[in-house]
Amino acid sequence: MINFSRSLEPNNTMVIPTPFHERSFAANRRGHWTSWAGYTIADEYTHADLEYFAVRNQCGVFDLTPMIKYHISGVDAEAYLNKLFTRDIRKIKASQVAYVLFCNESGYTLDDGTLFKFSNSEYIFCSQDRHLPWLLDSAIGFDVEIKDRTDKIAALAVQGPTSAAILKRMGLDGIENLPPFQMQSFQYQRDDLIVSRTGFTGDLGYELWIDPYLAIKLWDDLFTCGQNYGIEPFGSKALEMLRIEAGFILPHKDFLPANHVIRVNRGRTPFELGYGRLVDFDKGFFNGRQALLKAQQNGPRYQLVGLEIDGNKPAYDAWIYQNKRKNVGTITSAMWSPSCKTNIALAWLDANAKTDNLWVDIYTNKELKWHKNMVSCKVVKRPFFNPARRNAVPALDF
Amino acid sequence: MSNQYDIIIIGAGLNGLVCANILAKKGRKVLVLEANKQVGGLANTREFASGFKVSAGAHLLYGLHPDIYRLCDVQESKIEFADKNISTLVINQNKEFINYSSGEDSQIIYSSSLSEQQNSDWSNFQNRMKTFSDILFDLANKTPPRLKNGSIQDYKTLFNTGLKLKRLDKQNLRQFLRIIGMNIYDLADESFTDNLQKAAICFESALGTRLGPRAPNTVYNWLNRYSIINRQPAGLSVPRGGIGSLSQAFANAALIKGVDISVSSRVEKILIADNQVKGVQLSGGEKFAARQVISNADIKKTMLSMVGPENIDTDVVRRVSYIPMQGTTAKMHLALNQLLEPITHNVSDFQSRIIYAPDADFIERASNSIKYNQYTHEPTFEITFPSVQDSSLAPAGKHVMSVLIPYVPYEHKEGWAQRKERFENHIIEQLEYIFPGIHAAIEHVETLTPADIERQFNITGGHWHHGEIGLERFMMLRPTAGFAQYKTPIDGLFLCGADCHPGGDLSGAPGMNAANTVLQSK
Ligand SMILES: Cc1cc2nc3c(=O)[nH]c(=O)nc-3n(C[C@H](O)[C@H](O)[C@H](O)COP(=O)(O)OP(=O)(O)OC[C@H]3O[C@@H](n4cnc5c(N)ncnc54)[C@H](O)[C@@H]3O)c2cc1C
Repeated sequence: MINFSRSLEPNNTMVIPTPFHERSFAANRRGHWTSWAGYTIADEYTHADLEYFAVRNQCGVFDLTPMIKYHISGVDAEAYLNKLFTRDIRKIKASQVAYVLFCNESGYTLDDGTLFKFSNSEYIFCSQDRHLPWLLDSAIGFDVEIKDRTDKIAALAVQGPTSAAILKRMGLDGIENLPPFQMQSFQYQRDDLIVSRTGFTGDLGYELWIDPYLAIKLWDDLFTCGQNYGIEPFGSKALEMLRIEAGFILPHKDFLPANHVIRVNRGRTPFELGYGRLVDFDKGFFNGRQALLKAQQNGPRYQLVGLEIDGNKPAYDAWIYQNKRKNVGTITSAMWSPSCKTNIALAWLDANAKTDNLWVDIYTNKELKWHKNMVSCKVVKRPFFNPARRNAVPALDF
Repeated sequence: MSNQYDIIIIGAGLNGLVCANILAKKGRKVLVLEANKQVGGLANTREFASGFKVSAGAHLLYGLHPDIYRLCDVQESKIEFADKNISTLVINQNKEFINYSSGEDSQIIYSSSLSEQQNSDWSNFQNRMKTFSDILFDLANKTPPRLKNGSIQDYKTLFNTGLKLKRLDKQNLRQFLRIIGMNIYDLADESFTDNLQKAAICFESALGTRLGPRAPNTVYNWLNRYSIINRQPAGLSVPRGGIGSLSQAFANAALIKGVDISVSSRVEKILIADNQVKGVQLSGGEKFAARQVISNADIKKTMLSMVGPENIDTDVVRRVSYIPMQGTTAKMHLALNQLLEPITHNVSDFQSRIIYAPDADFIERASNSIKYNQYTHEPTFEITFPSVQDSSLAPAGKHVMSVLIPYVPYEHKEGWAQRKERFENHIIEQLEYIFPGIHAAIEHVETLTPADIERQFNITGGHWHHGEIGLERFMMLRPTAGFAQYKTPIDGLFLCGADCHPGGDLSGAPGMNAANTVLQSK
């Protein structure tokens, strides 16, 4: 066998191995890898469907290390974040994790992410893309220090019904009482293990944050404790299925970050993304405020919706028609949902489109012969899949 | 004094004063707050040594927009001029010289060695350029169009510019488009055979900027400058009592119209609620209320310090902080116990504006060191002897010399604290070559590096134009995108200083255009 992990030493490769690489490499029986923010992570370990079911029925482990993590500290941290993000940061309490969006001056969304609050002067902000220049330029005039800690913190997502039980077995006493969007610090070895009840799967689940030197130990402990709980690693392919079911939006797929568009108006406002509740005009100035006030007055141009589509053929990249004739939108993410047993999708509809009598045209290729099918669909509430265990406190013990 | 006004103007520079006059004339209740003890900003006369006075910033008047006297009720005829139509004497190290008039139909008056052909080269060049500079001049007194704003006035401005260009005949249009982005070195080279003529054109184009004559944009800068000088019936001039008298005249005209002017009043914060200006707060804590505030201070001071980054979008903070605002021009004032030996054996030398610039390459070399935050060891100069025209500026028999030194960095790479004295000595040494005996005649020297100008005149960087000027910072792009038309992202906050279109110099145009914008806004 080739020594793949050796060839991934930094000066040998264009991608960076995560601190878990030795283990994920050994577990990756398919050899499918993908890159994220310069790191290499498993795309598929065995088969995306199997990994998906492991998360929905037992417990899955995802290497989250490449998530970009900015440590933000200083006396002005709160005021700074309140300028940066659209929601009111003052309402977030210590140990809380908050979903946040940030916009440019045109009111178009640059990215979303999660903000971990340790105190009024210390936060960690996690996002999928890198944003250091924006964060630094936004900090002009504020007494804050911003450090990219991505490679200083190893992270795993432990998701699925048995996740709480496994962590409990691992010695994280009281983990079942941690409510969603809260974090707690545990002593692990001689260090801190931070556990947040967060995730991108829409299921009961946790994210674990630790010093990289303990990464391998953490992985081994998890898999030892999880042996009888069906624990399996899962890759980004399975994650994509899980997040669509959960109804989460993905930058670059469901919307383009405003700094990636060439035509300015291809950006999307938080209102259009369906996150108007995360825009707080009462908190004083924040990036995009003036434009968003106008956008609110003018109303959204588009609406991001969840669709349920007849049949079982995923409506990848399809157009949406009203009354089979008028083009009123497009699909951004689509899949057959094994848990809902329906054909689901995330889509952009024109803001003023009527939402009855909607159709999508799905192209299917049967033995190199293309078929075009007009299929009926309807707008449904997200998340598509929302099990009670997701938010139950104490967490259910499976 | 009540603390409630219609309009507050921050800064009593010439532009702030012009703006105040126009607004007061339309019935607005205006307060002008000036940080320094005197009004005028860079248009200022001050005593720099006992009994010696000098125009401490700008030292020659050549750009006051002709409409402005009338608009401000300042009677030009009442301003006493110490001298008008001052000619320019360009000299080299071999004491060769040319002397030319400024203003309309600039001509060579006398020279050490020009042929007849070379004399007419000069006039021909000026004539050719006049057509082009007219286009820029017409734009100077107009609020630049805002892309996508769509107001009829803006379309008119754009249309008229287009029309002006269209009216040029084919050959002229081709020529305009060819030269506008070009460098002045090449243009001078095609137009003249005499080194001093080339040097004169190159020197004028670069004044106040960090560009050497071979840099693109220098033709644009030259045309811009030439376009305003050209319209001055008085050519280059100096008011009696120095440039400060001009500011005083505009301040008096404002006072008569009921404007309150408060000196030694430094604005620290612009008060804002819900993106609307509410007033200002002085460094001492005193507050003044107004629904419109116009800042004559530079855009960085205004937006990043008085408004504060916490009140503006990061994109705006970025654009504002990226504006190149480091000054490039130093000033030296010398108190002399006697007048020096004339250069051309003609006493009228000292009535001229003297440019020391042997040839275009010399200027280009002088411009090199500023890129590396050093000063050049072979500087070029613009020199005036204000006391020759105006004896009130120096004790009897004694004289004042005012020296502009281009291409001096804002911060010396070793720090001005370390280098300023050596710089001063070096400049005096250089002046000694041009004016033998000057060393012995000096009673007192004052040197202002751009960093000193920043401190003393409250201008970020101490830049002549409150920021570099050029085609990329012109019209709707001046001072930067989103700020054209004298407006800012804060409702009720406007800019009126040299960093706005059409730029610096004692033109009053930004102040006038800003006042018009404010009058048109609700
Ligand atoms: C060395 C040098 C030589 C020059 N020579 C010439 C020349 O010979 N001829 C020519 O036409 N032009 C010349 N210029 C250019 C010309 O002087 C300027 O472009 C012009 O004077 C700018 O006028 P202004 O009113 O826009 O700004 P300024 O004159 O800079 O006025 C701004 C005013 O705002 C005030 N201010 C700033 N901050 C505050 C605050 N927080 N609170 C209250 N007040 C504040 C300042 O004190 C100042 O009075 C020269 C420039 C320099 C630097």
